[in-house]
Amino acid sequence: MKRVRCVAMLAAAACGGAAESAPSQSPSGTTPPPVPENAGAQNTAEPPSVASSRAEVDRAEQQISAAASDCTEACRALASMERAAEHLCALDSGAECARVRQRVEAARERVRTTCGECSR
Amino acid sequence: MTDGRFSIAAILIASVTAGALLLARCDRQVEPPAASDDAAVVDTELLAFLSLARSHHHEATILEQSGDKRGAIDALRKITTAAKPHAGEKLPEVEEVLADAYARIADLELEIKDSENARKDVETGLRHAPDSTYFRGHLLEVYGVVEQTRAAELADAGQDGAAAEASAHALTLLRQAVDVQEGVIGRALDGGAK
Repeated sequence: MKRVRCVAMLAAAACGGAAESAPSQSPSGTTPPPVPENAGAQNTAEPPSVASSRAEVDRAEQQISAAASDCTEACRALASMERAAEHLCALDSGAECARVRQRVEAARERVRTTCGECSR
Repeated sequence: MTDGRFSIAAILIASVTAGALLLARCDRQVEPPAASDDAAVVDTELLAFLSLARSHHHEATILEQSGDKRGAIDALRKITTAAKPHAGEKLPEVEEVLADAYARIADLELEIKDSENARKDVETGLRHAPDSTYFRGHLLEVYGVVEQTRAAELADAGQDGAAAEASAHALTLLRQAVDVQEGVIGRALDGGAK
């Protein structure tokens, strides 16, 4: 799977790189690209600004996908951490349990801040 | 103008070289050096194994939901006993699938009060997850519960010394599980390597 992901990322990076090397009239990608009046008649290829915007969308999509994957990992690790802490506290409800609960709460807050609520 | 063309050519050559190097690195993560035709075959084998594992997990879920926990365990055993892709090599994806399957088997064995086999399976699973990953953390968590259950069983049988040992072992394992998963969360959210 890593290879598949790697190849996909490389392909996307290559697309992004190609687009970046082209002169761009709208680097931010937030404004619609200008359309030359006779663009269709002269050239059927995308204007550089469209290619650049497309590459930015690709990159953003990649980043969202990576973030979602990291949040999935963080959420399942948090769930496991919570279960382990529950069992630990069932065996020792003293100071160690309190410390572990604090660590779980800190981890929960951290995950919530970055990822929102984890689905159960 | 000539300088500009030269620069573009240099950038193109550098990009193609970097791309080729990256692809080579990607290939190395899963496959041994091989001809491209062979590589495709290896990938197909890996994907087939991952698909088989997913199917057996679904099968186990259906059986578990219908109350047939032994049937669910049998379904998951089909993953651990299946022929592995790329025999003789330890592919990270395959190791993760095995670690995950053993954790679920042990969990189900606990539910049918088979703590002895749960212990064996979780120990086997840990051999497939030597690094500090979610899978290792989850196995440590399940192992902790296995030992906690065993401690209760031993105490019920009047074996107080052995029960205390199992209980202390459970605490150690659960502490490790918390440590590992805390690290996994930190790395996932920092965007570092998992």
